[in-house]
Amino acid sequence: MIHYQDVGMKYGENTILEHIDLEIDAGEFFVLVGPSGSGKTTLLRMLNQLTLPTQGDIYLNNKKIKEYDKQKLRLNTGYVLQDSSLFPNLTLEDNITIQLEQLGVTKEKRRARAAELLKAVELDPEVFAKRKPAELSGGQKQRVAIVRALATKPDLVLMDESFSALDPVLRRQSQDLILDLHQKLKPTIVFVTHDMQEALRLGDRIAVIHAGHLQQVGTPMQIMQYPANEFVKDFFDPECPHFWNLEYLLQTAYPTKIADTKNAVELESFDDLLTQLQKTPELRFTYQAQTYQLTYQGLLAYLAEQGGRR
Amino acid sequence: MAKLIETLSVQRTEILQALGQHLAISLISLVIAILIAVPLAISLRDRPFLGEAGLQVAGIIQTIPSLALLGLLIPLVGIGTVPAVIALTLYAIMPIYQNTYAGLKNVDPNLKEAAQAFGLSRFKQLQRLEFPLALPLILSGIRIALVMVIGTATLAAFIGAGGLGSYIMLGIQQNNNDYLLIGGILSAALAFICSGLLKFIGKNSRRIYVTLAFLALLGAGVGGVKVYETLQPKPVKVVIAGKLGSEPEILMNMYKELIEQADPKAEVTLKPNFGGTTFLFKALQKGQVDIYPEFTGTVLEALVDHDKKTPSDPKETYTLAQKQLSKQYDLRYLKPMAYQNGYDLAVTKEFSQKYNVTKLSDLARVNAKIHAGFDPDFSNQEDGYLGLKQAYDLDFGKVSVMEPALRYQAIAQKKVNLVDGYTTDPQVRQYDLVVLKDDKNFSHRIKGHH
Repeated sequence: MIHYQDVGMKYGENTILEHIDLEIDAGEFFVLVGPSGSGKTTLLRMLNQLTLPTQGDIYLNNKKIKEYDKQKLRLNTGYVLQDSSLFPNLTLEDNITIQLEQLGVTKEKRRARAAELLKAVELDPEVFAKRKPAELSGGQKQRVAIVRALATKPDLVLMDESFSALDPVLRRQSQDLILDLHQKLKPTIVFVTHDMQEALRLGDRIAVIHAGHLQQVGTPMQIMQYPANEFVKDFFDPECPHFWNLEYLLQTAYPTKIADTKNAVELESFDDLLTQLQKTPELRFTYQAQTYQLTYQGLLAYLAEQGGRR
Repeated sequence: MAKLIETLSVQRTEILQALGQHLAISLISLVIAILIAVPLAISLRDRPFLGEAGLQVAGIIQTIPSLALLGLLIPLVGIGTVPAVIALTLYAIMPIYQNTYAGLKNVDPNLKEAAQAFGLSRFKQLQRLEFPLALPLILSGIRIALVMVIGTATLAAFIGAGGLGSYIMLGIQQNNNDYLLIGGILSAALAFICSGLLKFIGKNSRRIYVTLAFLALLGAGVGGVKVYETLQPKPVKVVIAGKLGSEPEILMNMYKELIEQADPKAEVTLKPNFGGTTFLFKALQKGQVDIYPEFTGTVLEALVDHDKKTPSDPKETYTLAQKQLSKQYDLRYLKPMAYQNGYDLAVTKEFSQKYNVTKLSDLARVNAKIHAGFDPDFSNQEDGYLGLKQAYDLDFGKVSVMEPALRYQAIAQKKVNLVDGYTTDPQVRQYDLVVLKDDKNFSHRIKGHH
C-alpha cells in the first residue's frame, strides 16, 4: 500500500533522513520506532504532505503521494497527534465529525456517526456528544482524538507519539483500545513512538530508525531474536526491561518533586538509584536539575506495578 | 439642579434628537469600521509583513488630532454626517484591526496544524477554529472602538453633524453648565450603556448572531428609506449655516423665514453651531452651504488676501471685502444688514458708578485700577486693544488673555473688571454690564453675508 523509495530529507545543511526504502502493507499495524531526533516523525508527516521529501518518492496505492490532491488526501487520512488537539470551541460531536463536515455530510448523518464512534470508546453519546473538550480528562480527550481520526473511515491512520503524554495506566488502556479498533476495522496504521515496549506491543512489524537511517524492519519476534546491529540490540535489550529506566520512573507518581535540595545526591541512572536507596529508607536525589524524594516502599510499589503485569 | 431639570423637560425633543443623531453616527461608523477592519485582519493574518504594516498605518491615523482630520475632510467630502462618519470610522478601525489580528495570531499553532492535517479548507479553518477562538478579543476591540467613537462623536458638532456635541459646544459658548452637563453626561452614559450591552451580547454566540441579523435588517431598512427619499422629486433646497452662538442662530432663522415666505416650496435647512470660520468657509466654497453670515472685518483679515489696511469707514470695508471675495473665490457678498456689530469694552455697573466711567475716554483716568479680560485676538489686533491704546491713551494695570467664552464668566465672578465683547452679546444684559461708548468713533465691524 505504501512504498518509500530512496527517500531523503535535507533541511539546509542538516540531513534528517537518507536512503529510506520501506514497504507497508494494507491493513498492517506498522510502527516507526527510534530515539527522539531520529527522523521518524518526518517520515510519518510525508504521508499526508505535511512535509515533502527533498529526495526520492513515496507511493500510496501505486501513485506518488505528491501527485495526490492535498486536501483529498488529508480528508481520507486519519491523524492523531501527541496532544489530543481537539478544537476547544467545538463540542465533541463537532470535533469528531469535522472532516465529515468538510466533506459536506448532512448534520443528521454526522450526529449518528459521532454517537457510534463515542460508543466505540465507551463514552456515552447522551452525556458526551454536546460537551466541550475542557470538560474531559486527558485520557478521555485522547480517546476522542482517536475516534476523530476514524470518522471518515480512512484506509490509512497516522499516529504521532499519540500516547506519549499519557501516564502508564492510561497509556496501556489506550494501547488496548487501538489494538481492538485495529482488529475490528483493519485500517493501515502507521504509528510513531520512541518507546520500544510500546513498539513491541503494538506493531505487526516494526521499523527501527536511528540518526536518519533505517536500521532494521521486521516483526517484534525477528527484531528481538535477530537484531541487525548493536544499536538495535541495545535499544531492545530484553535483559533490561523498559521500566529499568530513571526517566521512565520519574514520569510516574511514585517519586515526588521537592524544592529543598539539601542532602540530595546527584543520580545518573536507575542503577545509581538502587544503590543509594539501599542505604536509606527515604532518598532525596537530583536528576537534571530537579530534586525528587522517593521511599523504598515507593520503589517496590513501582516495580510491582511495572514488572508484575508483563 | 432645578434649572437643569427644567432645561431637560423643555428641550426634551431636541435632546432626544441629538441623542439619536449621536447614536446613529457612532453605530454607522462602528459597523463600517468592523466591515473594513475584520476582513482586512483576516486576509493579512498569514502575511506578517503586511499585517504589521497595517498595524502601523492604523496607529498613525490614530495620532491625527480629530479636529484636524475633520478639517481635512471638508474640502473632500463637505460637511455634515459624511465627514464625521469617515473620521470616526478611521479612528475605530485601529482597535478592531489590532485585536482581530492579535486574536487570530494567538491561536495555538498545534491546533492550526491539526486543522491543516485534517484537510480542512482555508475557509473551514477560519470558520471552525481561528475565528471562534479570536472572537472574544475581536469583541473587546469593538467595545474599545465603540466607547472611543461615542466620545469622539461629540466633535462632529463642529462640522454640522449634530449630536450631543452641540450641547457641549453651546454650553461652552454660552457659559451654560446645564448644556455642558446634558452633553457630557449623556454621551458618557451612552458609551457606558453601549459597552455594557456589547459585553452582554458577546457572552454567547447566539446573541451575537441575533444582533448581527438585527443590524443587517436595520441597515437594509435605513438604506431603503434613503433610496426612497432620493427618488422623490426635490424642491429647491437652501442650506444656511452659522457660527456658534445665539446671534448667528437668530440671523439664520430670520433668513429661513424670509426665504420660506418668498418661496413656500423652498426647503431650507439650518446647520447651526459651526466650530470655526475655516470650517464654514470651506463648506461654502464646496457648495455644501449656500449662505452664512460673516463679518466684513473677518473677510478682510482672515479669508481674502489684500494689501490695503482695513478701512475705518464701514462702507469702504464692505466694498473692498465684496470685490475681493468675488475676485478670489467667485462668491457673492450680500449687502450688510441694518445693524452693526463690533468690538466693545464693558465694565460692571458697580465699577461704572464707583469711578463714573461711561465712555472709553473716561478710562484713561482709572488705568491703574483696571484688570482686563481679553480674548486673544482682541488683545493683539490693530483694530483691538493695540489701536484703542493709542486712540484713548490707555494702559491698563493688568491684562489677562483668556478664551472668549470665559470672559463673561470671569467678569461675573469679579475676577476681572473689564472685558471686550461684541455689542450684540446677550451677556451684557445677563450680567448687568455697562458698555462703554466709543466716543471717538474708533472701531466698526459690520455684519455681512454671502
